Parts: sequence; structure tokens; C-alpha cells
Amino acid sequence: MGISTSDKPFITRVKEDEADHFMRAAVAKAQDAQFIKRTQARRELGNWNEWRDLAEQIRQHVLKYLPDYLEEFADNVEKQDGHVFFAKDEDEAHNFIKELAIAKKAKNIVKSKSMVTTEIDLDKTLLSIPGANLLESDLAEFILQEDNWDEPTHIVFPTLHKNRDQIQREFQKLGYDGDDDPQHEARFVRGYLRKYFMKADFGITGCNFAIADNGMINLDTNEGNADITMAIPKTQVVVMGMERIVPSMKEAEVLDNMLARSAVGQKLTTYCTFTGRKKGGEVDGPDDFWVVIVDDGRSKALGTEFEPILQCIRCGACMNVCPVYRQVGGKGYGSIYPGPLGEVLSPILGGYEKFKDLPYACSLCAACTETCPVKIPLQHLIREHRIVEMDGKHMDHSMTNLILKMVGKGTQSPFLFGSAMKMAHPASNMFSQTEQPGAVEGMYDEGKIDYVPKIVPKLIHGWIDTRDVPRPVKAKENFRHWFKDHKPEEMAPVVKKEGGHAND
Amino acid sequence: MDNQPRVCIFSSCLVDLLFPNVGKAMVQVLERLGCKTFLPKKQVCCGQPTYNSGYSKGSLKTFKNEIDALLSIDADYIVGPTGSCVFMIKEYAGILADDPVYGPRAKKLADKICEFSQFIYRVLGIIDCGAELDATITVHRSCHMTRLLGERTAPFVLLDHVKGIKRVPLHNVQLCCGFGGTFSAKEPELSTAMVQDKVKNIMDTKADILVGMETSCLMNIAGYMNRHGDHIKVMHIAEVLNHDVDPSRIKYIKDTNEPVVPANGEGVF
Amino acid sequence: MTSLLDQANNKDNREQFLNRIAKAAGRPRHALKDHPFKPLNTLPDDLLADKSPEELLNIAIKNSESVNAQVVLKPAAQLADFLTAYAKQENISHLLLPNNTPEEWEKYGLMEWSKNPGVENVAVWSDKLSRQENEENANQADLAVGMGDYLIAATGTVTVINRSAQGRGFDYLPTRLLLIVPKSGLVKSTREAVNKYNEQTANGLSTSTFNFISGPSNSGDIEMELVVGVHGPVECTYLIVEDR
Repeated sequence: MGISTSDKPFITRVKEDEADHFMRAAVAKAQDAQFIKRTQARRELGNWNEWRDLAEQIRQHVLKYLPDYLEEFADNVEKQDGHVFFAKDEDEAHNFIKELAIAKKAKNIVKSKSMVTTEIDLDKTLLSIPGANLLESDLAEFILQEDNWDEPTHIVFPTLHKNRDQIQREFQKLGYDGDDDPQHEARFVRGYLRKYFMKADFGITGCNFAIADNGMINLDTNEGNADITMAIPKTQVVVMGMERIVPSMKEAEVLDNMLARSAVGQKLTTYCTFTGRKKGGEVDGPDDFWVVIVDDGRSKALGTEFEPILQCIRCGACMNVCPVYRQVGGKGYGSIYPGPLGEVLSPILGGYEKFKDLPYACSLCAACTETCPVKIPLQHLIREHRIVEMDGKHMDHSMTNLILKMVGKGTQSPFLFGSAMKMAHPASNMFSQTEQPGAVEGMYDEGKIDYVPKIVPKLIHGWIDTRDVPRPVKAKENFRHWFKDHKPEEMAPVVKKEGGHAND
Repeated sequence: MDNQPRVCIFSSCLVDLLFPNVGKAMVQVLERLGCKTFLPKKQVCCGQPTYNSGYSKGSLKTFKNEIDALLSIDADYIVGPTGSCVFMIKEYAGILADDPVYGPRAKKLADKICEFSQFIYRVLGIIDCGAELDATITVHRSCHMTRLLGERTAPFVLLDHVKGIKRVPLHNVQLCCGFGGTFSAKEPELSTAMVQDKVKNIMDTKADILVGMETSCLMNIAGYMNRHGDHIKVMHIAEVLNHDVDPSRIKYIKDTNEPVVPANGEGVF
Repeated sequence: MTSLLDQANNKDNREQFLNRIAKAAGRPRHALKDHPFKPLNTLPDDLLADKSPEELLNIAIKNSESVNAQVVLKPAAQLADFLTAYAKQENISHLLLPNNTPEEWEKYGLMEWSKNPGVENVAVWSDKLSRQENEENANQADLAVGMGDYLIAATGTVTVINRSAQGRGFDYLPTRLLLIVPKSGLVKSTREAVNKYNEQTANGLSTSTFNFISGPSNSGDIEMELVVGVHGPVECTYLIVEDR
């Protein structure tokens, strides 16, 4: 399954989500709350755009010298008796970890939230080991697991689509007898999972940043589950996307601050931990420390116009500002990476065939680009995907394709456009209504077009099904005609006195 | 007067086809403010409908036609009533960077072109256009103008100096109205849901007039309102700044105590 | 079939991977040594650099409280009484302490208290006990009183390291965590704390973990409503020692 969460066509998913009123209200509420928190947190830090410049520089530098930094990191892990495995794809990554779990005779595996482990389908692989148990320890991931491995819909708030009552009902199956207060539900999970934690023998975490110069792993969490996952089990596996590396703790620290402010509007996550294999004299922590560094398609972006997507630090701010995500929620995207990040990343990791619709699920409003703490030009990359799909792969064979090609012809020729300006008014006659005054003033002086037969392509009726279009003006009343004959407006006295040109 | 700024009007295809009043208002305001205007006949469209849909190659001729047309006038500035299309034209320089002929021409064009309100406020240095409009308004800001062109304050400053205007803030002003060019036609379900939210927020302001800086967004929002019987008046900023003008009220920023507000306002978060 | 596990720490596995991605990127390997990272600005070092120590302390307190940490300031001479009273007030029945040296306790005048803190069950995290015993003790504890290194003003954070006398489980498993941190450990920012740890490491400090802890554990996973106290401690107190 990999990053894909649905086999349904994109439009079906959109319609399902439109009908899901709870989900839409929850997402809207979350976006609005995060808008305030995020903006305050960034404002309070000060010089936000200069911080972004620094974060961008760190990420771009690391990508430019990625093999060197990975080499340095791996050397440092190995020096401390840790183990590093480089996995080129999903299969190598999850098979390696499965083999390791079997070799270690793992019985009680505990995981903390990590997008890359979801991406490589690790849970399903581990569950196929006879006699092994597995629990997700992040509250949201635990909720998803208990709901028969439901798919996450946000990279920071995976259960944004679920409400407290649904969660209460799920927990009742585990023996919860409390009410639907999130505080009580969370405390129940604390007790439930603590028992499991205490006997966990195999821990799996993701990695926010790997520190090249000391071989440590930097993790940011609020619940403390990742830290317990790294304290109790004797074997720990860290799974990291290969791009998630920084030169030293100094650069990690910069990104930790920006991640927390961007993701949840906090100054820092409650636990920001730099950690590695247990050292001499220490009592707990992993005796056995394994790092699995995963490519899984990321290298396809290296050296291309899409390389900036690898700057991503997974804060989720882009989906928190996205007006399309607001409407469809995470599920609509059909990828574990939803929102603007997902629109760029999913076709790279999962292929254009599977995710060809995603780059079009975007109005190019650029809210994502504006909010991105590491300055990924998201809306630009989304448009680059469209160019690859249309010009490179010729993936659209519908009427839309034909119409847009005609529009291309029409807009390159002053002659054709001149004809259009003449013909648009009479041509729209059969669809136009002029009698009824419109509700909106100032738009429909020439009448409106509010109906076209269903037979016309979606590109046209999709608009007119829900919105009126003003009727084109008569050639004699159009702007160009007016301009040709107009008498220039008299210059204002103050302007005359000044000589017109303020900047001269 | 010889030192009148020579302004080439970039009309945009929507003004040419649907919204003549916006073009007229823009020209009248600019002339009143001392500009000599020119309208090149061969201009058509900035090319966003095709380029933003992924047809890069198919848009090149559109770009080149627009470059030739807009540079056919020896003007000091090129001014258009839409931040979105102006930004597209600024992007030509990057897209055509490797073209020995059109690359440099695109760069020249990018240096000269401005959005209408930005031109008045930042280039002409005018803070009050002398207009009067006795109404409560709310403003839909344009995504491309604020985020890509980076101009988020000039239109608000100019509108706030229109005599008689009372401006009500629009809740969630930062959210896109759902137009997005061909997005609104290719993904009508998503686009409609977005415009629905936008319309609700606008109607909640109880404003008499919705003012916008883009005819495209206004067409989308008004299109939904008109279909659903929401009563409001819609105006482009050029029409507002051209409304009931008393030329003696026109003011330069430097003749007031007001500082020039930076384009990104209090910063972008 | 060869085991994938043999591929870990294997030169071929590493070289193939790194060569492949270098080729994909179209950039040569081993160019970093001539292009080390040089930050384009000094913002992380400049953060709160213009604040006086008093201002920094106030910022630290405000930010700590904003992450739901309880902040208490006391001179060393009053720590013992405070801790005894606190344990009583919270009805603590299982207390966990670090295996500090007498000098470490005495620095804060807590040697006597550590021997007789007035709580029914007292356990000490120590490398003399088994791993499991330590973890069980921590799991039972309704309060752990441990040592912090730095108090970070900008983020309301106290930092701790993993050591034989105070392990990871010490900080994460008890119901309540109280960290004693000297006022001299007050730093401006996470950057300054990282710099200090880097200096200590250069001078021989060896630890597997630097923990930056900001308040009690929490989550917003259910309808984004803040819930304090999830997997880690449900309460967190910073005890700042004014005269140390």
C-alpha cells in the first residue's frame, strides 16, 4: 500500500468528504485555531522571515552534500557500536526491520509516531511475525490502530477526522468506562499503554533530525511516548528518511524551534531529545541501536526542479493553511502525505499514474508557500507537476485537454482574440438571461449566463452549475472601443503643480 | 506636460471581454493622477489559463505575443488591474531565461509592470485619490497579489482614504475564494465549497459593497452570490477610486504625516 | 538467501546507496570538506542577547508557566523544607531520587533531606540496581526529584542528561517530575544550551541523551483540545535555586 490510502478515484473521495460535515467542521476549527497560535508563536520569535532564510539555507546545504553528511552520520553511529542500514526502497526497509525483530525474538514491539514507518508499511509487516505484539504509542496513532488501522489524515494531527465520541466508543472495546472528555480518554490510554511499555522489548521511532557530527537522533514530541520508547526496550530501531539530517545539534536546534512554532504554535515541543545508544554506566536506553536510512523514491527528486520538497521538516503548516485541505480533509488526497506537501511529494514517491489528480487539487493560492518555515515553493512545484503531466507525459486525453489547447491558440493570436471580443456577446445569446435583475449589483449589466446544456464539457458546465457568469459585452461597448474614442481625463490640480511624476 | 509618466495599459482578457467599467475606471484614475495612457492593440492574455494548467510549451507563444504587445509602446510603466496577471507577466523572465531574444525583453517588461493600486501608492506616491463613497465595504484580497507579488497593503491604504468609506474586516481574509483559474472549472466541487465559505464570511460582514482587486475573484464570488440570491454590490478597486472624485482632495503621501506602509505590512507569518 | 541484517554496517550497502544518490543528484561526493556550513545570519545566537539576567529570569518564568510547568524559586537553605512540604501536600507515597554523590546533594544543602525526605517509600535510581528494578521504581513513583542543568529562558525549558544516577526512565515514568536547577544554569536560548553541552562534551562529558523538557507531557490529538499528562509526567515543577 505504501503512501496510498485509497483506491477510489479522486472525485469520489472529494464527494465523500464534502458529505462529511463533522470532518469539515473539525478541520476548519483546527485550521482557525492553529492560525492564531502559529502566528503568535512566530511573531513572538521575531525576524520570522530571516529565521526562514536560515532554515532554508540549512536544508538546502544538507541536500547539496547529502551523501557526505550521511556518511559522517553513519560513521559516528558505528563508532558508538550502533548499526546503520541503508534501504533503497520500502521492501528493503520493512523486511530488514522484520528480520531484526525476529532475530531479537521481539515479543512486545512499541512504536512512536513516524510518517516514514507509515510510508514503508511497517506495521503490517511486523504484525505478520508470529507471536509478536505491536502497539502504536502516540495517542492519535493508537486511536487509529484501535480503529482497525484507520489511515492518518494529517501528518501532525493524524486523527483530525475523528471526534471524541467515536474515540470513546473505540476505547470502550478496551475496557474504558469513562465519559467523552479528552482528558479522561487520554489518561485511560496512559494507563493502558504504560503496562505495555513496561514489558516492551523492541522500540521503533522515527527521526526528526539525525545529527551528522555526533551520530545522535533528535526527536520532538509532546506526549513523551517516543522517549519512553527509547528508554525501556533493549533494542531500538530508528527509521529515517534519508534527507532528515543536519550538520550538528546547532542546526537541529534552529529547526526544532521552527518546527514547533510552525506545527503546533509552541516554542518547543515538550520533549526535544537528542539521543543514541546507551553509554557505559547508564542504566536504561537501548543496548542495541539500529538506524534504517530510507530512500524509497526520494532520490528521484534530487537534482531536479523538485529537490526543494526534500527540505520539508514535516511541520504540517502547509495543510493547516490550505483552503483545499480545509474542504477535503486528509482522506481526500488518498495519500498518507496530504495537503500541499502531499500534492508535491506523492507523485514523486508514488508515481504520476496513481497521484495525477493531486497537483490539480489546488487553486495555486500560495498560502502554503507563504507559511512554509523552510521556504519550499510549494505552489510553484505543484504547477511544475502539472507541466510534467501535460507537456512531458501527455496524461490528459479529455475534452479539457482539447479546450485548453484551443485557449492556448486563442490567447496567442491578437486576431483570434479580436474575433472573440466581437463574437462573444452574440454567441452567448442563447444561454443568456437579461430580463431578471440579478441579486448582485455591478456585475450583470449585460445579463448573465446561468445555464449550459449538460452535453458541454465539464470545464464549462462545472462552473456554470453553481455560479453565474456575466455576459460578455457588445463589441461597441467594450473597453478597447471606449479607449480609442475617449477624451483624456483632466489632470488634477495638485498633480499638475507637482509635475505629475512623484518619483522624479 | 513633458514629464507626464507614460503608462501602457495592460488591460487583461477579463476586462476586455467582460468588465469594461474596470478598464475605464483605471484609465480615468491614472489620467487624473497625471499619467498619459496608451493601450496596445495586440495584447491578449497573460497566459495563466494554459500555463497554470500545465501547458508550458503551449503558452510560450501567448507569452511572446504579450511581451511584444506591451513593449510596443515606449512607456515608463505598464499598469494592469490585476495582481495575479501582473505576477504571471513578471514570471516570464524566469520561464524564458534561456531565450536569447525574449529573455531580455521579458526582463525589461518585468521591471516596468505594476499592479494598479501598487502603482498609485508606491510609484506615484498618492495616498488619497480624491474619491468618495458613502458605504460600508469589505475587501477580498487577492492571493496572488498578496503572496506572489507581495503587495498586501497598498489597496487597503488607498481604500481607507476614500471619503465616507467604512471598511469592515473580512473574517478569514487569508483564505482563497476558490477561483484559481482553471481550478474552478476542473475541480468545481472543491471550488464551490470554497466560494461557499467565502460568501458566508462576506455576507456576515453585512457590508453594502464587496471590493476586490481582481476581476476573476469577483466574478467567482459574485457568480455564486447571484445564483443564490445574496444581495450585495461588487466593485473593483479602480471603480471605487474613481467614484465621486473631487480632484482638490487628491494627496501625495509626502504631503501628509503618514509613513509609507511596507508592502508586506507587519510581516508575513 | 543472505540475511539483510548482514547488510548493516556493511561497506557495500553504504557505498552503493551513497553512490546511487550522488549520481541521481548529479553532484560529486566528498565536496563538503571544502564547503562547510556557514550560517547566513546569527539569529540563534542573538536571541534575547539584549536582556539583563533579571529580565531573562522573568522571561524564563513566564515561558515555563505558559507550558504548564510550575515554577518555584528558593534559596538553597530552604529547599529541604520546601520539598518536604511539597511531598506532603501532594500526598506522595513513592518518591524517586537520583543516586547523587554527597557533594552533589550538599551543593543544595539536601544531603540530610535525601536520607530522610519524609515519604513512606523512597527509591534511588542507581546502577547498583538492575535495569528492571530501576524502571519499576520509576513506574511506581508518584514523584521524582531530579537534577537539571540549564533553564532556557526563550522556551521555558529545563535540560537534563542521561547518567548512571538519573536515567531516562527517571525523567519519563513517574507521575510527577520535579527538576532542581541552579539559577546559574539560566541561559537565553536552546542555542546557548547546545553550546554549553558541546563545550562539556569537548571537555569529556559522555552521555547518550540530552533532554530538553518543557513542562508536563501533553497532547492535542483528540479534537486538538489540550490534554495535560499523557505518557510522561502529568505534572512538572522547576525548582530554581536562587543562590546557586
